[in-house]
Amino acid sequence: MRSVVLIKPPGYLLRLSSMEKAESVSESIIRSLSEGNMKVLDQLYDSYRDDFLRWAGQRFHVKNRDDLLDAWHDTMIMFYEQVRDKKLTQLTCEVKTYLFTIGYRRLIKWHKRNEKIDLVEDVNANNDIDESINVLEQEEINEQKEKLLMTAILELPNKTRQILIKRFMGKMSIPEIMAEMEYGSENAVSVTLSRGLKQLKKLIMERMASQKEWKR
Amino acid sequence: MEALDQTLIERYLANEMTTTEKSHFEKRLALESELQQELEEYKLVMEAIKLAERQELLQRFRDRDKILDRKSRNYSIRPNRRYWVLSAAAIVMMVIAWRFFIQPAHHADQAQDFPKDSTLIQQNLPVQQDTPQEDKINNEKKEEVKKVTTKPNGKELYADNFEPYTDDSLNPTSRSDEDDMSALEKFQLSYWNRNYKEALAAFQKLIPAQQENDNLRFLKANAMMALGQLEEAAILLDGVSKNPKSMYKTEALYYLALCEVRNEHFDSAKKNLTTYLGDPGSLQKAKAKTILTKLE
Repeated sequence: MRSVVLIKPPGYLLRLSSMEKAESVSESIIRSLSEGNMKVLDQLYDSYRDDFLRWAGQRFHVKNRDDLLDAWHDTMIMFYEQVRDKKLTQLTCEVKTYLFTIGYRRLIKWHKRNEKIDLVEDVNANNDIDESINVLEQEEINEQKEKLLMTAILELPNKTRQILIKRFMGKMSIPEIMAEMEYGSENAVSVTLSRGLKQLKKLIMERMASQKEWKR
Repeated sequence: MEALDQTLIERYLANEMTTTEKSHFEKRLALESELQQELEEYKLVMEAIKLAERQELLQRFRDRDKILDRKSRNYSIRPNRRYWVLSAAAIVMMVIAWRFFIQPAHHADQAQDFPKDSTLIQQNLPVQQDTPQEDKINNEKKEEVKKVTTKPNGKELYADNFEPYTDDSLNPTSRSDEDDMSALEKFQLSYWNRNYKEALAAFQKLIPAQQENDNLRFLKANAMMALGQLEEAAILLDGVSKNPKSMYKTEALYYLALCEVRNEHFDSAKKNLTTYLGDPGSLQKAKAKTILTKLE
């Protein structure tokens, strides 16, 4: 069974002055999210998105709203993954403060990267250029790898993909998946899961091999 | 590779092994390069699954952006309108100030400097030669034109002022076991989340005594208004506004008036708004006054 914790509107959270209240709200959010309650994530997203866009826009003088939205998306994904992987189990500050800190770091990184890109364009004998090129090359390799992995997993049937996500990312047990996805038996889930894993591994390996061939 | 190893790898990656199993498996990993290779390949598989989940999350957030942006576009109409009204008021004030404080002195000078202008105006005056009868007809025509041009637009007035009722007391702070929620809890939760279709569906599942409750009927009427079912909403609101025990008795009058405005039953809307404004407990006085002014 999943529990639902509804988040009070931001105004309410901002009025919370005592650390105790902030902690209890944060704890219940983290607990619900770690149990896989995605509605909590939606509510967090909705409650603080506009505040973040305003705040970050003023602080970083970013004119393109899409850049800020990207930062907010990444922030929420990072937060979700931290909670999901149990790396974040409690907070000593309000969730909003925590989220804005992640977003802030994300934007700083983005800002620095953009500066480095400028340096690459400006062909001055700058010491940072080599490092920038390395960073860019590394990013390019990562991008290629991500693209390959994404293409492979998108070849799987949607239902299989969902099972894999629920099992390995959502840490759901076979009976839980059976109940949620309305499978007839646990065996049916296990079989789909095993076949899906094998198929995905095969797809990835084939793609990697052909990429190596192509590079030669 | 053996099927058993595949199962072991699956359990290892799902973090479901006991400490002993894990330690045994890791010992094997250190010794068997084939198993190690297999695990490395499965780690790539895990990475792909992680990316797929990220992609889904990203899509989820983009969908939310669409919803939020649509909402904020609707909300942003009002502040803009307020700025326009304030700007218009400021311009009017400036014109008045100019007319009464600056113009008189200037006018006096003008009259002295250009006496001919005054004469010209005097000369133009006799042009108005309408008989009293014609005057009356003209006035009536003007009145008619005025009536036609200033007739309030119910649709616009409604759109500008309708917002489903909400207050902090309606916020269901926490619920455990979503699946075990009662129909009433689902109704409250859906209403709070602005899922009015779901709210109405949940309302249908309430027990008859709850369906007769005027406080819940008030919220149902609001959900109906949000979905454009105004006639049924008006019937409910009329009932709620006449129930002295209902905590939304007063607010029901405002929403009833809004339904009437939308259907261009302006007289009854005016009557209800006047009664509403006379109630010291009314919460949306400013809006009610604005609508009333426009209707009058």
